[in-house]
Amino acid sequence: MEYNPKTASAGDRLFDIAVYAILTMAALATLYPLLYILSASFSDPMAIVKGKLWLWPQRVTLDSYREVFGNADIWTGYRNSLIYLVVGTTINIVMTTMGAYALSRKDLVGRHALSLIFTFTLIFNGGLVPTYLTYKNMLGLYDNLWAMVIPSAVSVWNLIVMRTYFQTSIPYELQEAAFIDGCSNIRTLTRIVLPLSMPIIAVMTMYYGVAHWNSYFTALIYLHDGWRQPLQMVIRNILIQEDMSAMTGSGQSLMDQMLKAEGMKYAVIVVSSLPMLLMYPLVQKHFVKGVMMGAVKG
Amino acid sequence: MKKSLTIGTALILLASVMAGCSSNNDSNASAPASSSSNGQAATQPGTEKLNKTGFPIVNEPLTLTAMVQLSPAQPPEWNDILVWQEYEKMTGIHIEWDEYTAADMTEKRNLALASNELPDIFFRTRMPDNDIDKYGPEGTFLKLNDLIDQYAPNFKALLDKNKAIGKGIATADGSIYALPNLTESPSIEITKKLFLNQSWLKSTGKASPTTTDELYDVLKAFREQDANGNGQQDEVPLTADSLEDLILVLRGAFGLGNQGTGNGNWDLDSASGGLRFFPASDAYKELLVYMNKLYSEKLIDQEIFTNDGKKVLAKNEENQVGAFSFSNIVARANKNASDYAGLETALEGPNGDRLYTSARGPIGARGAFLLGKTNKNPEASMRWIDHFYGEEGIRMMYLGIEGQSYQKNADGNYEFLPEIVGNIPEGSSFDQVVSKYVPYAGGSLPTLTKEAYFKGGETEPAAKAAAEKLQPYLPKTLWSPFSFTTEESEQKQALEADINGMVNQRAAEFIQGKASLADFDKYVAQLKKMGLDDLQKIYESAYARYQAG
Repeated sequence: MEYNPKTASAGDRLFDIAVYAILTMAALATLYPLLYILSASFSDPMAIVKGKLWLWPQRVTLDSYREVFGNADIWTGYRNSLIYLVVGTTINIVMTTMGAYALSRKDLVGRHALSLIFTFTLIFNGGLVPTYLTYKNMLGLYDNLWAMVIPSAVSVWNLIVMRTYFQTSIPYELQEAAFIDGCSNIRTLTRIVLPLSMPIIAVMTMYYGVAHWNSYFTALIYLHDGWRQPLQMVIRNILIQEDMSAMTGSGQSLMDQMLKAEGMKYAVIVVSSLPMLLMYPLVQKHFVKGVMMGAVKG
Repeated sequence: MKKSLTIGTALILLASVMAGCSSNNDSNASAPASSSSNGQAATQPGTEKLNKTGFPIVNEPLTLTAMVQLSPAQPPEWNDILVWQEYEKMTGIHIEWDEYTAADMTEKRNLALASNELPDIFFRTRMPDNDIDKYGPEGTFLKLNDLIDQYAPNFKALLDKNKAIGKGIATADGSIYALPNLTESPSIEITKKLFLNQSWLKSTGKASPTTTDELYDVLKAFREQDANGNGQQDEVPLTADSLEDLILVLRGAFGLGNQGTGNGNWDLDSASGGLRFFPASDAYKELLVYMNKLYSEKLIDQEIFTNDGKKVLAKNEENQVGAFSFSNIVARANKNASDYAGLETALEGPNGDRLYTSARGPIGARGAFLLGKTNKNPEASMRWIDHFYGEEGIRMMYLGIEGQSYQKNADGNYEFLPEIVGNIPEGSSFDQVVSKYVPYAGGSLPTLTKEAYFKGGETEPAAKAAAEKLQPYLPKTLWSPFSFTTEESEQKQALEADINGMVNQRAAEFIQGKASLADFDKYVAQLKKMGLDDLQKIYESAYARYQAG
């Protein structure tokens, strides 16, 4: 029977009200910081420092954005982040698809052992210092653009999600039919499996893309030169300014710089989050479907 | 199937264990090998290449690597700074700087230490004292005692002149692994000063306070008599970046911290002469009572617990502040900087203590300069840095090159060239402009900071004047930080994390009135329960060594 709020019992209705109330509060708690940052980015930094800002912009100004877009480092960071995003995600998708497809095939020799080895890395890893030494001394990845995309080529978690999707959503009989018609493994993958897997690929693109966009730790450890730094590192340097007590500048300039930095903080957060925020609605329709298909039916 | 799995896993594990072993062996084997080659380089060809005195330091070009923290005001390539270019010409030593921002420094430094991929020189890497005490004895850093004796005449002269320096930089067994940042300036060594708004004093008809009670009266007048004359009661009579900064400027009047700030919350009990953890003392309770009175009457900034420098600056911009605690004026008061002046004298407390204890000895930072164990030219490195502990080198560090960046005025004072600092372009700061010539921005350099050469905020005339007035009331001895053995240091770190956290938290609660001061004894009992007695033992053995050394 369909649930009808009009005929529901008082207890049910009370339950509904409670659910809505809690969800509304959760939504507000999530939205408020976002709105605050958005408002702050359009406000006079002086008003922010004085704590006059609660929700709506105070003394609206675009100075902070002018400052952000006038900053060469931010553009460099943007460019780098886009490169890492595109190159990295492409590598991720190709590698993950190939790995997941192979592991999804029942006729792969040593399939379980391979899966176990992959899973092993989910639980154990070498730790920061050995990993660092391996990258630096054996792989030559220190201060190398590839450090941003190669070591993270496959996320095992995503690989398992995708493998499960291949196993459960695409009937094995379909692949057998393809073989009988003369398809090679590669052809089966590209002509039969992939066209049927667009939802999961969209989801993987999103997962990997966001991870690349947000990643800063790899850059922090492995990149040195400024021109290679991704946007997140540029932002980090703006946000974690040197302790003010170390500043010894004099006169009006100190005040100006401090305020400028304060305003930039918020504008830069908005500017850097925007691409991801815009991407989500586009992929969202695949999102729920794709993840569910991979995960639940397994 | 299952069996093959187990075997496979076992193999992987075995392989990883073996890999671990072999890499261990490697590092074990290579460590003595490299140190023996070190020794050779030092004894045979090294002596010919190195001049024991004078410049150049080396006869053949030499390159050293150095890790350094970059100040935002500085050019991202440290060798773009004029002083380093000139010094390279003088010494024949080229430094390959590895510059990291403050945000990255901790990770990069820890990574270098943990992975043993060390630079030749750690130059202003903000090396924590605990890391010096830990990695030094482990052999990660070179021991500098002999090098100082032979190759660092300037630094040795400083050690001989002031015994407190040696006590403060050596580890528990007397080894020196790090050269410090030193200061010779009361204005810097008096770390936090209380500045009062003189035009507010005038408008309320009050004189500069000399006792804690007078301070209370002054602050009350600020608040009640509309000291800024805008018709609103928006005055913030007393503020600071943090509560700690306020406690620092007030505690002397209660006889607390009577050996300076060198060892945090420890000083000497005036009655028994023994070591005292003063946040558990009765005098500290009186300080809390006093501050609670100020806070509850809204004489202390009600936002003090969430304050920061920016907020103080912003409040000053609106002429809302009557007094604040900081090391200098210009960094916290901009538009109204000329309104401020320091105290005329140290405040006298209810028990007749007239002491000013926000002061430290000559050591600004202990780990300003260290040598990694893989440094093959420790002698040249030591000679290279020693110049900056001598008169000429200090001048170079802070003012650059005569004629190119500074000049000696007719009155004998040194100044940056007017064409450099006379017209600072829009959007730049003083520090940014001079950082093309000198590397001092960001502070904590391995050198001796002198007032005559250092043009930063602490040596502005008003801050200097404030320091001079407080100087007669400083403690007679200002402790250097004690040194602890590795074992003590570990134990101390664990205990202090809890105990000092509790002290800060309870201080805030007592002052805010969230906790009644009648509970002070309970708080002391709680500190004891957290291991205060153990901590006291650690400090007592360190203090015994300190007195003996």
